[in-house]
Amino acid sequence: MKPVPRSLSEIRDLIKEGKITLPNLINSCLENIKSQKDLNAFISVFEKDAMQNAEIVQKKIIGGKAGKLAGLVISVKDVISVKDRLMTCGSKMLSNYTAPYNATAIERILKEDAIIIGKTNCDEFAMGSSNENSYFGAVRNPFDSKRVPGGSSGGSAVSVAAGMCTASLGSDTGGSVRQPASFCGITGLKVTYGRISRYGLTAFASSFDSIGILANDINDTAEILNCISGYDENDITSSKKPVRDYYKEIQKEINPKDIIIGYAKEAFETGIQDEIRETILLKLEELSKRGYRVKEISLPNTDYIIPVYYILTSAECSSNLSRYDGVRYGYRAELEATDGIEEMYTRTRSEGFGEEVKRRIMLGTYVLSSGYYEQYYKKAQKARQLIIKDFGNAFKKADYIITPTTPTTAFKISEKTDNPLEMYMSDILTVSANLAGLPAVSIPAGKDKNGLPVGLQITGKKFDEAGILRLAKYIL
Amino acid sequence: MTGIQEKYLPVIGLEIHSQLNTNTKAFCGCSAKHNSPPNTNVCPVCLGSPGALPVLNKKAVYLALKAGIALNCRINYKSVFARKNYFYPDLPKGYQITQYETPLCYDGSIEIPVQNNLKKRIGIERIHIEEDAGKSIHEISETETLLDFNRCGIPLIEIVTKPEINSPEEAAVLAKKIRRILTFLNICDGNMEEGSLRFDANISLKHRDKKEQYGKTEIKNLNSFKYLKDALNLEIQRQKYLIESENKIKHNTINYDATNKKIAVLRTKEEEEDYRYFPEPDLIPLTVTKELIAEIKNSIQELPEDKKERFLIQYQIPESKADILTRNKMICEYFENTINLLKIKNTEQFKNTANWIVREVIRELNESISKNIDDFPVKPKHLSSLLDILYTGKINIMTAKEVFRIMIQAKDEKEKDPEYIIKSHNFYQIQDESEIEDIIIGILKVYTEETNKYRSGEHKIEGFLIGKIMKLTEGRANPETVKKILKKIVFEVQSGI
Amino acid sequence: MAVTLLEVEKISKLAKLRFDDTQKNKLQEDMNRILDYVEKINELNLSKVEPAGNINETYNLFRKDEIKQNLKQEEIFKNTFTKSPPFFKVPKVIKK
Repeated sequence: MKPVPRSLSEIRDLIKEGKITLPNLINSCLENIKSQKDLNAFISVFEKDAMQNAEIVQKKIIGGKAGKLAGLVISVKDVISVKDRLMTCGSKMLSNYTAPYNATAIERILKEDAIIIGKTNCDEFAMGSSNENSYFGAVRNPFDSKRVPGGSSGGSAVSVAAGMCTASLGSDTGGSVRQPASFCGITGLKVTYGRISRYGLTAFASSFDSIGILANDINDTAEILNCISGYDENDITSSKKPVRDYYKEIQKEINPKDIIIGYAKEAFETGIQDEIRETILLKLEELSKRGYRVKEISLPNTDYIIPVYYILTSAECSSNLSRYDGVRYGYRAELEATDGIEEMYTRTRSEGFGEEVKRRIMLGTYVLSSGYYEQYYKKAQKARQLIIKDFGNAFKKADYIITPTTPTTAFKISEKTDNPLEMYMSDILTVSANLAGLPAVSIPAGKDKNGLPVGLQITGKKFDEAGILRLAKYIL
Repeated sequence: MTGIQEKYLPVIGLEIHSQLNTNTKAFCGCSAKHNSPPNTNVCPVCLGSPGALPVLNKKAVYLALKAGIALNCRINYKSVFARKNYFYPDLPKGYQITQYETPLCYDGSIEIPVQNNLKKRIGIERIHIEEDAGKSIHEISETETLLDFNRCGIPLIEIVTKPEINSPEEAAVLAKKIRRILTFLNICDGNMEEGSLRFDANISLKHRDKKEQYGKTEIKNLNSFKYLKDALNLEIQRQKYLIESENKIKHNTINYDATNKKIAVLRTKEEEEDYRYFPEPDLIPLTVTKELIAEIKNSIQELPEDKKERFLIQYQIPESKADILTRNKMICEYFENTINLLKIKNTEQFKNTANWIVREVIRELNESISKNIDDFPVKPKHLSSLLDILYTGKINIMTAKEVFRIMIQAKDEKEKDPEYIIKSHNFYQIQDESEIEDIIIGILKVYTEETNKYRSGEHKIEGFLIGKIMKLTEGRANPETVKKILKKIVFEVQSGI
Repeated sequence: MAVTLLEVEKISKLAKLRFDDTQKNKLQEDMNRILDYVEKINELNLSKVEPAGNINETYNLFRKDEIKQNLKQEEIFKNTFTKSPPFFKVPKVIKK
């Protein structure tokens, strides 16, 4: 693997000192993509355009006229629209689909001179926790290629961890940014619901989805967030709250005595790998020693998190994925002359979607269908309210909540594919932030005995991205 | 037919789909214009491209509220959009954005005239906002259905009445009245041929004595008042037949074939889609402020019904005329503008104005291409001046009509001025009675035989003689004056003729 | 409450998906396992709880009624199966 600088500031310094050029850097990234093809991180790579843009941005940097993200080499999860590029969503259904417009987040990073190197592999329509549900094959973990990189933004996490780019934009509906970041030993931020526009992000579950940032360096996370967050008139669920200068905010000193860290005992109970529990408890102890006040808080409805999450996300997904019908774009089954519209729909969707996606569409259709709506969907929406309240109460007592990101470190490929429920349980610690619309970041906190990264998750109050990133920077 | 209605009482409810008069679609910035080339008014949002999101058009909310207020509805200060899930090729997202549990407006009412000058109040169940689907074109190809998504996403309101309508005639009267309100308030263009306004009707029969209510069916997509009435009549007969032959009336969807004047059962509702409604997560709840409602209330100065009442009192015009004048807001304005510009303002002149507009202007308008009174060549300014001239007797009604025709065809402003036309065509009535006398004497000399018959009491000859005189004066004599002078000459003056 | 095979079939019809018998059995099993687990929410007392929705409690953000640029024809039809402007085409919708 070719060495590539870890962070944007390093890249800028090296360019200024004349030690590297941006085209050099792109070259190294492209070589790393090629030499690690077995990891299967990318679905499409923009070799020519990335190189051309690198030359343009290099000149801008030298001329002192470059945007805030000049020097950043970024990959984009293949569920986010980049105009005139393939956007497959990891699905056969969209394997030939070219996006007709830029997502708002893409529009904003391009304006600041970031260079997009390619689109990364992911679980089909972002549904999965292992990146094994891709039409383009499983993605492998760079720490151990027999293991999964996590999902659904597995390709994004691998691309950053394996020196193929500096950062990546992913999406997080129930942990899809944080869990792979944790499995691959990098930083993964999921923002407050509505902080980053969803326009151009292929919907999985609209009231849970948010774009997230994967990076090596937390300063880069903050700089990218500065550029892409904020209200967008194309997404009325995006927030009008003013955007803070996250980069500046996280450079500020903190007085540990002002901060209360919540320790949720439920998150350390059943099913948590011992080494993970120990690593995170050790971190909490360290923080306490440094003067932070660590206080036990309670999230009494933790047991209901996964049920509520799966009912609601499946319901929303079943409706969001109805647009894939073979009519206007995407895959259409080969038909006989005598086949009518029903046959076109059914064959197209049965052949175009993978197993997990179909399972969730079925589950979602079921919980919305007449007779079950009240019993499942409506009840789950009420239970969601209870979970939101839990967090409201917890954040009256504490400023941040620290938990492990995942119950286990990266598991083996095929280990959980036969049991969807077990797979769903691997999201147990991440989905609550999506249920309550809260910001949360996963940072590397150590390694287990197999040398696999362990992630620590900080969850904050709504719109307190600055706070969780500052604490993360402090812990790192 | 009356037999049916004696034994069974029809119970009818209407669902009225009305496109809203907006420039753009409900949830995206595409033009809502009709008749654009196929698939030109489309974008990622209305084509349901991955990642595209709906953003609600404020004007659509405004117009929907206006309809709600005009129909005496209560307003939900917080209403929620929902997804109605079903597959159809002209429905790009696989769901329609609509309102379900909490519509924008509910619990309204409207009054319609019934027999014996009575009024009947029909309840409005709800009014909600939703998006239209695209157009499926089945007729062009044998093997394929073609799709045009220009219409897809155009904002609609669905007005749902309570099942309180008891005859096809009442249904048609109600539909007409709602159309009048919607077009009058510029909520909808009311164009039923283009589908801007269309009706669904649900109908069941109730036994008048036994009070038993039988099964209900729904007739879909009726786009004229006549079809609405005809289809309901046919369905009443079908249901009656089923009841009499002791068959169950299934919850069917009925299609009306206007060309063959037949109804056909489309499908059974029971085996139909389960729409899986749930709140639309891409949209936030719609909240309405008291200020906005007050603003809309102020903007609705007068409803057609109120206007009609006022016309009857203020201008003393006959009800039949007031009715026609208040069918269309622009015609109302034309009428009142003309009245305001009249120099002679009295009830007779008001009646003359109403008559003229109903008989002449509207007739011309119906024959014109645009059918829009704003494009009508004769403006209130010139019409009022023509009516004033007519009133003073300087021209007679025949001449006035001739002048009016010239005004319609005139090319510039000056040529449209009735004064100018009358002068340049020498249309003024002959005011000098001695001039008329000379002409009459001349005529009587030519038609001596007729004159003698007339003098000896053959009264019907009078018309003949007057006709000859009018012809000679090119219509410029006042027929009444001619008659008076003719009688004087023939019966009083012994002039030796 | 267990999902029956008949229900699996009904739901697959609604979702426009088709499964062979093996898949149906597997789906029935999976769905029942998941539903059995999510039934857990019935333990909660939810009678006085309002359903969640509108996560950020924002209201009334509208678009002005102004026309925006549409997609170009070549962009509209780039992704279609039939590539047949000016129409999208599907197999004949046979009236039921």
